[in-house]
Amino acid sequence: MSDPKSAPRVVRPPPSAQQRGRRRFLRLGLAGTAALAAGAVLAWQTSGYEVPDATARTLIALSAKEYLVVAAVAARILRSDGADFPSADEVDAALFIDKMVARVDPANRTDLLRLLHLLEHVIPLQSGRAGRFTRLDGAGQDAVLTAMMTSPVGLVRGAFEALKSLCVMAYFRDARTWGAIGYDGPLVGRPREGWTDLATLGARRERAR
Amino acid sequence: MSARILHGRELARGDRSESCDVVVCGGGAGGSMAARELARAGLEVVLLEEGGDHEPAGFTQREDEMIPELFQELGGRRTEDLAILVLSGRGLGGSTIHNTNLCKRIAPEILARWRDEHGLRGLTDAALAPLFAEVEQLLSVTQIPQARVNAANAIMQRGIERLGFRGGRLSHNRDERCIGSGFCELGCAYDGKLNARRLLIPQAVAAGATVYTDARVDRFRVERGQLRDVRATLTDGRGNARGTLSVRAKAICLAGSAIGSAALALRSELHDPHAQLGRGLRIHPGAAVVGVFDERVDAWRGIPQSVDCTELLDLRPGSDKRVWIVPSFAHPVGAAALVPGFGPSLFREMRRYSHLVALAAMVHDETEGRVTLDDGRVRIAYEPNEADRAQLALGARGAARILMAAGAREVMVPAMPAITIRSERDLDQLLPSRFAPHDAKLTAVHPMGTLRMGSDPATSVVDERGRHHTMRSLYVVDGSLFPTSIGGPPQIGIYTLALKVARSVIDDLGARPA
Repeated sequence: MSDPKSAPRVVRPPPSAQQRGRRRFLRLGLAGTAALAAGAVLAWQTSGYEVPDATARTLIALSAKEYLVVAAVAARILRSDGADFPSADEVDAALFIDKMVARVDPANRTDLLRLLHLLEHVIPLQSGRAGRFTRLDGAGQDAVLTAMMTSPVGLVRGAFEALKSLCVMAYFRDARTWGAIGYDGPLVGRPREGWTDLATLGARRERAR
Repeated sequence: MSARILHGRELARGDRSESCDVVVCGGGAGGSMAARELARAGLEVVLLEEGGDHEPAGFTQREDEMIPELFQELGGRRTEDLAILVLSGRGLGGSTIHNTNLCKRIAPEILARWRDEHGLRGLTDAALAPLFAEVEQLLSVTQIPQARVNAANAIMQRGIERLGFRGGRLSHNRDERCIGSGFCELGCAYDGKLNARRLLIPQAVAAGATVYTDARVDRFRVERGQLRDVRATLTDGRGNARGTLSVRAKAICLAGSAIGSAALALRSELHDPHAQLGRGLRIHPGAAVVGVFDERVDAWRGIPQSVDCTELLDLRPGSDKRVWIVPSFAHPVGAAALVPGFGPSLFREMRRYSHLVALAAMVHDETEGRVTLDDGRVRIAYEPNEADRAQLALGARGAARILMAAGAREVMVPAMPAITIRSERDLDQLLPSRFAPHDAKLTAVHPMGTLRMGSDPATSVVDERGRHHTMRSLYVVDGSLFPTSIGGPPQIGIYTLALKVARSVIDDLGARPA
């Protein structure tokens, strides 16, 4: 039941501290005034972000720059501990996230895209890294993401969790990731034989212990 | 007006209008029950549901496909501070499509509190018992047989028994079509749930109700204290407008959940002299506690929740035990989102996925949150207070003890930094301070309150009959009604109160119950 723009404005109480906090974070940034001003300028830089034409043509919600930020984040969050897992690129994680972002309602989408620009330009500064997130090496990117994940500012942690949720959705939806975790996937589409035993398997196993 | 289900995405573009006796805004447990009851009494009913109408054949058991379809905000709805994931349903049938079918009555202790603190003198256990029974019969509620308890639930049972804790098998509303696939939270592909979509909507339509899906209610309008009309946007199922729908009716029933109904009331500028709209939100915040077992458990197989632990649940007012513990398992996407960290550490934990048993420690919360609008966007302000954080810690300790007693090699509490427990001594890490926002990962699946029942208009929105204190043609028929948390699964309480309120509407409109 989201609200149409045409609906009359509602008289509301003043925003709570949480509301103000979220707005401040999502609309202005994370740093102090000076850093914010710099971040606001940098956030609109679009040069130096090129993706292959074929990729650019498939993007729905993300710009080339935003796509590259997402791809970089996904590559670090989804960097596995072994070769038996596919890479984030192999499962097209960033392209999937583009499709998900396209489905997000416009207001939340705007917030999410602002977060990507902040992550690219401002959050690295916050964690003592000069330069864009996408230009940092892997260790530098991990340090920035770790700083977000452990930030004393709750909203920054929440933003990290939102990004991580998108990444793991983009990744573990892919059947190629299931073998290494022992998951056998959906039942629909499989032969029905044996299904009715599923519910009792656990109980039988327990009784056997 | 003819009985039918109309899908906004399939209708010709353009504007439509309807006229009826009662318009029901929301097609979940409460809305479906109300629509059924009203239509069976011979009233003309139009039900408007924002989400789609999901056929069991379309439930693919894939998280990436079903979560965005079945949950509000694509499954990503969070509290204002982004700390708590708040899952609530979307689509015809509402949360009964994705819930795990747990059935419990509202406890007598809760009803006594509602009587003593909120003046709800008619909602006694004795008065509601026949209605509870009627609902349970309608939904064919039965206790899950032991033979259908899956491995993860059996492990929890073992832990409870070894500790001598209080607990037992739960009651559900499912039938023989349920094969125990374990994909309940993604919709039942086998149509084994005796839920609002399968049972109540067809009966409502058979009795003459008209149901619109993909119909996002924008607002209702009031004129001289009476409902003028309800305005909705017909969408393509992805939120894009295809037309408008205007419904004129004598009465309106709000059934969009504790979040959606409050937001609609706020958008519609419902008379609110005491600023009560949206207040009193409870959500049963829950912390996950995960045991790692040597044996393979494959906890995703079988009925996900068939036992509970009530050792730490005393529903009397002022109780210092307010935690309900139930198994809680996620498919890979949900599990990975819960595991702390990223990169190799995330994958190391996910390699143990088939050896995990997760429990949820859900708090019967005293914290009062609030639903507001911010430039039209729904905001959920909710931060567990100190007492509820202590309960989360108590619950996590209890869940960890159950898992260890059951033989867990290690117990994890998803938090930042992660909490790992390998012995009783490690339980001391589970301090209330670790359950502050953004520390332990919290999830909520039971939004309640926001349009509370009560006898005092200064502290409530509707009266005991579910009717607004001043706008007499407006009723509430969903979990918004609850003046407090109920400390258990809400669907039976919602169905029952919706049935009761619907009969009030029937009476007020001069019709006769079926």
